[in-house]
Amino acid sequence: MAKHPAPLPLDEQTVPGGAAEASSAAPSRRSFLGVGAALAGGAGAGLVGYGLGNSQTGVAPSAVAAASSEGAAPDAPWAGSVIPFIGAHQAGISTPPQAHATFVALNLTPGVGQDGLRRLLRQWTNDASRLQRGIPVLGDPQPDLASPPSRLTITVGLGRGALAEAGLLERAPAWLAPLPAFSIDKLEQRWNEGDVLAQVCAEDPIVLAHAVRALLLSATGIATVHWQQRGFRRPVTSTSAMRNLMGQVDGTVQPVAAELEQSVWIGADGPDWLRGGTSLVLRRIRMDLDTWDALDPQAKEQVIGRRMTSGAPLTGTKETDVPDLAATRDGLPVIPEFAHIRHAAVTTAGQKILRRPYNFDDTPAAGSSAEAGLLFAAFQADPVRQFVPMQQRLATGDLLNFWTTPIGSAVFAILPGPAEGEILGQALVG
Amino acid sequence: MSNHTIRAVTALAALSVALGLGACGTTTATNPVGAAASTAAGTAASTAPGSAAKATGQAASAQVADAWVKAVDTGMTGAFFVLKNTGSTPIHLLSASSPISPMVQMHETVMGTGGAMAMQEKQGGFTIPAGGSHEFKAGGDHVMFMGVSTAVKSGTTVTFTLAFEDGSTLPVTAEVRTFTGAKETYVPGATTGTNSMPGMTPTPGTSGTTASHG
Repeated sequence: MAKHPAPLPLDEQTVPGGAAEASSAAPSRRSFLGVGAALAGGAGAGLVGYGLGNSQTGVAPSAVAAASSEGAAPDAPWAGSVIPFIGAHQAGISTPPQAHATFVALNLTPGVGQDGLRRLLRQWTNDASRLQRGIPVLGDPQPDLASPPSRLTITVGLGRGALAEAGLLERAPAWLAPLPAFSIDKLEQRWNEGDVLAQVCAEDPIVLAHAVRALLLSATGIATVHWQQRGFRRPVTSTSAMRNLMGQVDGTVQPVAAELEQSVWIGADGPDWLRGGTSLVLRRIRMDLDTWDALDPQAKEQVIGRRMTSGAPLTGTKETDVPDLAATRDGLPVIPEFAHIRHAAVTTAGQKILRRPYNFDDTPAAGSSAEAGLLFAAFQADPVRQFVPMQQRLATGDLLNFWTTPIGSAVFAILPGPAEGEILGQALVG
Repeated sequence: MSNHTIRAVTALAALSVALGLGACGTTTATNPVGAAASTAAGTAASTAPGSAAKATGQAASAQVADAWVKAVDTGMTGAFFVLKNTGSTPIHLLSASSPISPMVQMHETVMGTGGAMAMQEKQGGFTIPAGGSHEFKAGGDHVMFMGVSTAVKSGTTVTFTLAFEDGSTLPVTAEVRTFTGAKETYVPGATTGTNSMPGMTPTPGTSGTTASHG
């Protein structure tokens, strides 16, 4: 992949609806997200509005004014970048991942009912539409923290509990429920499920923190925080691969743009209120870095099935090479039977999941050197059809389980994007 | 510029207009919740479908953006917004009314005797020069609703009507928000007589009355 200095984030910002995924002749994780394609091939046919000039047009004038101060040096290339809020799909799903993320789950206060859910979604719609443009929310106690927009996205989902509180359980899809128990799970209730989810992502952690607080203030009297999980990855401008804290290149295989309708977005076969939406499975996976670090590099590569440095499968030379699971050497599989990628592999678009993982690195417990891991965020049209079979294969045959432990699990129905004048969840509670 | 780009720019411009960012008075798009913006024509269309009588007089030049009201159970609360005069002559906001309150006043915030900010009724209302705008904000000038008897809940909307010197009026739809900032007291002995209004609660230790609405 061509390396260019500080490319601008290649958002859907010039195309409302988040439908600007580039089609790429050589799909990879990053080209799927639009970045690689534009970097490698320039703005070819099928690419929409990519490049510096066009990105600037995606920034609302008021946001520009708010983001720049007189005489200031040029800000980071992503600082003024606005990702549209209005569209068929919510932002923050097929959006190239930002450097920082906070996932916050709230539980509705018992008794607030459908009216409470509607009130929360109305406020969050208002908040998100402003914050993503770098504009303070109404009555913002810290308006100076709302800009620059920094590719902020706010993505809202509902857990089964939200529909229960709203008296709408009969409209919940079957998959909107806790995942079946897996043998590897050691789930802690403090990280599980939740009635309402906001995934908030931005390149600037200050802007991110402000947005999260604004959303929580809007929830006053309606819902309270159940859990909050913060994660990080590389800035969108980085041309280096996303790595998890075990050192592995993470998130190589993704659905390409043309596969999103099949793999991610809920269509006519789903509930009417979720058409254009998707599902989020968020697994909090703790990594035992002390024992992992004790392995030699070759052993680590056998466990994952990829080279540590390049991310290439053991049967290839570069990250984007398709693993040859049938290849043998001296009668043994080159990619071992226990290798992670063997069990994670899927072949059809309908089985693929869109992974948008973030690393976490929190305060170690007493006597421990790390409390680290991965917030494994996966978007798919149907978790039972797509996520569960993959997780079951991984739970039974993946040697990586020795060093990783799921300690939290949640499933949310991610609402479709709002149309102008509508609230998030319009077709459910509007 | 590619067709894609042109289309995108156009779409963004349309969005900006609909969201009240430099919107003109002819906006007839749906009133997005993301803005709580009201224009003379736009609000009339959104609040009285089918009978969208276009505002006349000073109200026709008045444009309200970012209108919100502080959530309150009962008692008093305030409305905050930006009022812009898009016309070529001054407009003079005289009063406001709302279904949620039997008494609505225009208030200003001044330095009280103890050094804390205090609010009092603004006699004569507010004049906005041609092309100018006036911000009604927490801790500053605002529209005050007294005697609110039904809970005003966050995430709902409140309507109120601004009345101008020439008798023209502008209906406004405001988002209701939770807000705890900008507490002030009332100027003791202020001419408004608001201390005796329903919903007011004397605050121990101050000579005035504390309002939590901003």
